[in-house]
Amino acid sequence: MTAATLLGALCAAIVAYYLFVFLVSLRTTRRVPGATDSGAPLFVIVVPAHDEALVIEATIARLKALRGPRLLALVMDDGSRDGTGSLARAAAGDDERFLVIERRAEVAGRGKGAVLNDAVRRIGALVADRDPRLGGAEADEVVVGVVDADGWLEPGALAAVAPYYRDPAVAGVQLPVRIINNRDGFLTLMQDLEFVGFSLFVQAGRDPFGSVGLGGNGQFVRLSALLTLGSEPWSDCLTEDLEIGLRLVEGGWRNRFCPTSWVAQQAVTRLRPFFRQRTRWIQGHYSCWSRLPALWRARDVPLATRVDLSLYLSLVVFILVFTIQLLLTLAAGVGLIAFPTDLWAWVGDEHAVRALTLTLSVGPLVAFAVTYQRFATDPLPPWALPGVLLIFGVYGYFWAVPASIRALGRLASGRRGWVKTPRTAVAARAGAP
Amino acid sequence: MRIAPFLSPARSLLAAAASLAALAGVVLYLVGPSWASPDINVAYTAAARQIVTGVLKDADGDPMAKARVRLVFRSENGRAVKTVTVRTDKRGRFKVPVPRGSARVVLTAYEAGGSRTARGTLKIRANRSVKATVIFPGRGGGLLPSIFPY
Repeated sequence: MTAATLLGALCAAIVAYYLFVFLVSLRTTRRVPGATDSGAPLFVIVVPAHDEALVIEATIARLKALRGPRLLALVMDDGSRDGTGSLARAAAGDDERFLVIERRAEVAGRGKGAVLNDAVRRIGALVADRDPRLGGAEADEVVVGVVDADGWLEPGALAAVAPYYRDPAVAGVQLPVRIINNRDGFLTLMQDLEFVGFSLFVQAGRDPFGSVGLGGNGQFVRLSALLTLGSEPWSDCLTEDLEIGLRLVEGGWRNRFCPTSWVAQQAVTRLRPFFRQRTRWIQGHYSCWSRLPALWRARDVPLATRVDLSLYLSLVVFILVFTIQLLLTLAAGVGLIAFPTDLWAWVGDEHAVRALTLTLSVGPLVAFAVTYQRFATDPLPPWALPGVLLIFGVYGYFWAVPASIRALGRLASGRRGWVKTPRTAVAARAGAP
Repeated sequence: MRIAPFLSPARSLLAAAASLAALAGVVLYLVGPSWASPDINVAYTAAARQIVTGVLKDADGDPMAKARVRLVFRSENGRAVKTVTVRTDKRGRFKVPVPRGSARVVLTAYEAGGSRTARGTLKIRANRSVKATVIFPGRGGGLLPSIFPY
């Protein structure tokens, strides 16, 4: 067996995994828990806000428009210097469901995880004090939602999430993410395609395993589950959202995905912050490999869940594997090197081999397209689909390879710094998405 | 079908051009001729009489005459036992006796007058006939790389 055969078989196996997940997602997105009229949890929405003056008023207006279950919103002003706190208080007005909490300068600016931990401590105290704003709810009847300061929850989001909490084993529920400014250019459109096309089907396909990844925005977690993780549930990991999801699964909880609602956020519009964000994500993914031993020691977690999570975490390395395969195949294609493979010798007919390799090569893109057209606010015109998918393929290599190399370099040198992703003003986008 | 800009007009035009390129690429890949590094198909056998026989064919299945075939026989521990280079006959066939102590043979085939190659490894077992086929990863016989990296 040649190296090319091995590499090809490995890549084909990963593509087959994606296609399997896609097929599962077709089923799970059609089978969601029915609405509940009674017993809905109380939602406490936490909005971490550090210098968010550009977006905070619109975010609070959206939270006020939420329908359904009871709600308390904590806007955590994390030492802002741009007047975020006063803007938030003005936007909240006399609505008793909104609390704007000032984090003192000496504890502020330590990252989102620290803000969320502070919020959970305060919510725990409110529960212990049987604060009337919580209506006497116990910890397992309270669900903490995390919405970024640029995040816009769909008005029916809480009503869509609530039925998942009828299952007492469910800790986390994640909403799909949509991009508000998805038509500003190719960079923003590609991010929309990533979230609505790629992430949505991958998350939905993993829903039956209870191993859905929790994201930084549109994440909901049962308070009693959070309290099992200690006094600081969110760590200082670069992808603290991914990590908390893993720790919940290790603890025997299930994480679910709710495809019938969404949270919208801004895409990054400039290249430098975009690469910085992606580097952080990839570095965070690699960092989370340290959770794998604990996951495999957790014998109460179903084997399928452990396998799925391990596969999901290892996929980050396939960015480089796919790239190596691409470069070697291109080099062989122009006759620079011999890269022989007998992977398809069993097929025999040349045209069948071509059809098979084409299916494996573009199959996942077709899965993205199907999912995107189904769930996007504004689906793409059919004539543009092949071109947009081709551009998406180029875009994938464009960011993923340099960001992977940089992330590995940062891991090797022990750098773990974090820079906040910048926002743009949203006032003019009140109708979107 | 309505053709209306979904991004700015210039970006929509670029997307339309990319759509045409993508569709043309798919059609060319599926039904087009071989390009750049066409396939060389090598089928060879280590027969019971300890002779490696093989045939070299191109992507269309036509025998490749006068092509050079280099065989490196190796022992169980990987030591090179003997290297033999032969040329195929008019029917693309070649035949090489297996030196004593050989456990496997690494075979490289070179197109006559060209730069195309195919390479593969075959295990040799006493009194057993083993067949193997190696296809060079050119158009049709190879592995189209993934269009996306994650």
